[in-house]
Amino acid sequence: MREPLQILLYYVGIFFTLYMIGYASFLFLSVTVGSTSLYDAKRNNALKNELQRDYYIPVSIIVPAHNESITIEATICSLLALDYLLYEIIVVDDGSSDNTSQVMREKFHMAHINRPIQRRLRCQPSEAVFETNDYKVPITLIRKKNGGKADALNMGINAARYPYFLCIDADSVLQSDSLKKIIRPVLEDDSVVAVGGAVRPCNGAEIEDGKLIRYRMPDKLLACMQVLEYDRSFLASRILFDKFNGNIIISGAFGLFKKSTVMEAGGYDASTMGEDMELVVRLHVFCREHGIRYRIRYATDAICWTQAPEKLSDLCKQRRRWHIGLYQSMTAHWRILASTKYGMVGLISYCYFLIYELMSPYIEVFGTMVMALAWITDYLNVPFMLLYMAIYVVYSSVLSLTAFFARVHTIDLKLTFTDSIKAVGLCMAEVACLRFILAWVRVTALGRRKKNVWGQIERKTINFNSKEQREGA
Amino acid sequence: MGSEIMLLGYGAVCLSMLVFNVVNSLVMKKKELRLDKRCKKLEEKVRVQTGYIKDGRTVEEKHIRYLSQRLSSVKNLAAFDRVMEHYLGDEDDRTVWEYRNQIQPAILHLAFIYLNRGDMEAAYFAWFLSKNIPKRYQGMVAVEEIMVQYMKKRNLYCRVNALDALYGFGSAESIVKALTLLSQEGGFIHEKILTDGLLTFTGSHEKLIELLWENIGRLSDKIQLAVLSYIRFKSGSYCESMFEIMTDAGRDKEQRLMAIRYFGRYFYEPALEPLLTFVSDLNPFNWEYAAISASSLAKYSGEKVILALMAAVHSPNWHVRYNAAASLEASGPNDWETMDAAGRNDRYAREMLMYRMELKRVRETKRRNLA
Repeated sequence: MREPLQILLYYVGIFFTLYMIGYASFLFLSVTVGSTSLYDAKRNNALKNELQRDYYIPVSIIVPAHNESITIEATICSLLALDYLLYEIIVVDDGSSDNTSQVMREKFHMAHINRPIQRRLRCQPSEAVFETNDYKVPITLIRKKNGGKADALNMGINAARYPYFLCIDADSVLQSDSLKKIIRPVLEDDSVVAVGGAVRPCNGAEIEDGKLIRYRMPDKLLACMQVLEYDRSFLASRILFDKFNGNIIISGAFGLFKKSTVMEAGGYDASTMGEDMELVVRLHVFCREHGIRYRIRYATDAICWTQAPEKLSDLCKQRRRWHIGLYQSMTAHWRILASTKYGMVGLISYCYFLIYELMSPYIEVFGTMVMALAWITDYLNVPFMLLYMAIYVVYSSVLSLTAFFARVHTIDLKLTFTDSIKAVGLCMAEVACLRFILAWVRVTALGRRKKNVWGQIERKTINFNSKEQREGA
Repeated sequence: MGSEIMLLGYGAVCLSMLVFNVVNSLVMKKKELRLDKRCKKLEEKVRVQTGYIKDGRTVEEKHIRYLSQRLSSVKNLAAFDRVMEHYLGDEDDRTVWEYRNQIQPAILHLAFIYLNRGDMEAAYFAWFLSKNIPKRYQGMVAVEEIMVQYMKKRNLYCRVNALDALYGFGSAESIVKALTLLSQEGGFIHEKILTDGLLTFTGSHEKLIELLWENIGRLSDKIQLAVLSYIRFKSGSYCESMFEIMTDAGRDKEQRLMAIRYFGRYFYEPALEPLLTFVSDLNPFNWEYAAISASSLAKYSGEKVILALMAAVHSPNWHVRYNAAASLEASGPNDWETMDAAGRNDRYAREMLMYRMELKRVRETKRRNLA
């Protein structure tokens, strides 16, 4: 009995060593490349190696909303404060049961109008359309039957008048220069079909008229840990993948797309919960299979502030939804796995997401169980395990901090000493505790799969303090 | 054991990255202090020279030599830029204008120096020049010649910044040379960047358009398109030439569409017939011609136009219907009955026309309320 167990533990040990080396190497590479790119970007900015004038390519901003009556006003005000001239705002109320539409109509004086919408992408029918031209750009509100976020986005694309569209979440606000910055890759290279922006938790940030005036680490520890986690994932892996056109995720909270290409590729898939990732993978597949020259870029300096959940239950709901979305997106495109036809996307990006994102919670939980088994059967070298664990925690923490401070320095955020200490302390807690809790949540996510529904997370009013909001008050 | 060493090694490198972050932050602060020092030093020197100009003297030869030498370092150039911005920002001031003009030999020398530097530094110099040249100064031919050569650089920002500087010089000949060189080099600059840039040209637009038109065959298709777009915004005197492009079936599609848009901005009687032909074309492959013509026809009036637009609102193509209804609203009948008649027996056409009429009603109600 002991011998087979010993053999099992031996091979499990080998597997985990290889797994950790792979993970450590990737993380190391991505943080190094990410930080270097950020410093390069800062140098480019100092030496004016970026477009200096403002060029306005028309953009339709689509805001899918479901029960967002608390945040929708701040979101629209942030969009009206954008330092950009040529855009329109389209809010799609996806059958909200609260008064999202009413808030929109009253706050922005919108008039009911029978606007015909070309239904090139399949979506639930509209129930009413409201428009206003009283602001610097036209605002359209489309109230439609509930069909999920992807369905709402498809409706928004159908109604969009301009060649590029930007989708943002209704609980997010944009920095005033973010539209100008996210459109730059399109001006620099006409083969760009999609651009992802940087999403940062707004908990702790004070934004006035689209400009960040004060930044502090959030008061709630959970939100703090997410700040570190966002920086690590956005600034590290996405910058690395961007180097070889291998990004397969553009956050649904902030992404710009070329409308014609998205329409040709079939729009958002309403049957998945990870519609943002699924669309990007499909764009890769579509462009490669049709021989279209394309680039999917990541704009590190285009910033969107979003609300990070402050309750563990909300965070678990969010991560469960993300994991199901990841699973659906990956299984929908199995054929690109390790396929040379899809270039680096199939060979590196897809494999990375499969092993270190989709499978990682199972592997981590399996590892913990094996450790328990080894401990029970007295095969566990406890001091070695503790050393290994300590290395893992310190290593991951250092990488998180590197990404975090690189971010802080390159966008000239001023952090207090207390905030810096908070970051140092919490990055360890994030790696040692939160990561394992979330791994368990993700393990159980697929068993609880529901139909495609909007996640309900407690919303708070965003402290945006725009001119429109002040006038309204 | 090997894996532990590897992990520890990675950890050490990461730790050094963290140290790098902290050190970098301190270095940046120090750099800022150094820049301030450089600025002060340069400002003192500039003050002395502007003092001479105020006394009716000229900038010293020694100062020109000093600038030529010192500003060849990009750090000093950045400091000088700051001095120019803070101390010499008022272009209308005669002394400032005179100082900027008299240091041109140094600028010429630097233009040559930076042409042979790396792309990033060259881009910075081009930007510096675009920001700090005296507008419409006529004595910069040699600098212009060098800036045209910057088009050979592969860096997009270098090219765009150099073009910006050339727009500021106001010399049409240099712009044409630069765009021709850019076409030959095959570099990409987005049409929007070119069009918007050309619109900022500080010299005579009439002369620039004339020269561009003479040389249009030497430009790449993309640059030609940007030039046509620029002409559309700036001049209504090219109807005949645009007419030729619009009716030439062998021309690039985007250029023909741009010509159709031109006639939506400038009325030209002979263009009416081709526009009517385009809008009536039911070939689904030609829908873009029909849709843009439907939009351009808003500039035209008469029964023929109304009838063509009334027919176009029944087009199977959504964009043609949308634009035709908008043009009908702008140039056609203003009563509900006629609009209703146009949309009869066709739900899609009626919906589109109703939408336009509703929009009009909302606008008028708002206007009345405001009054």
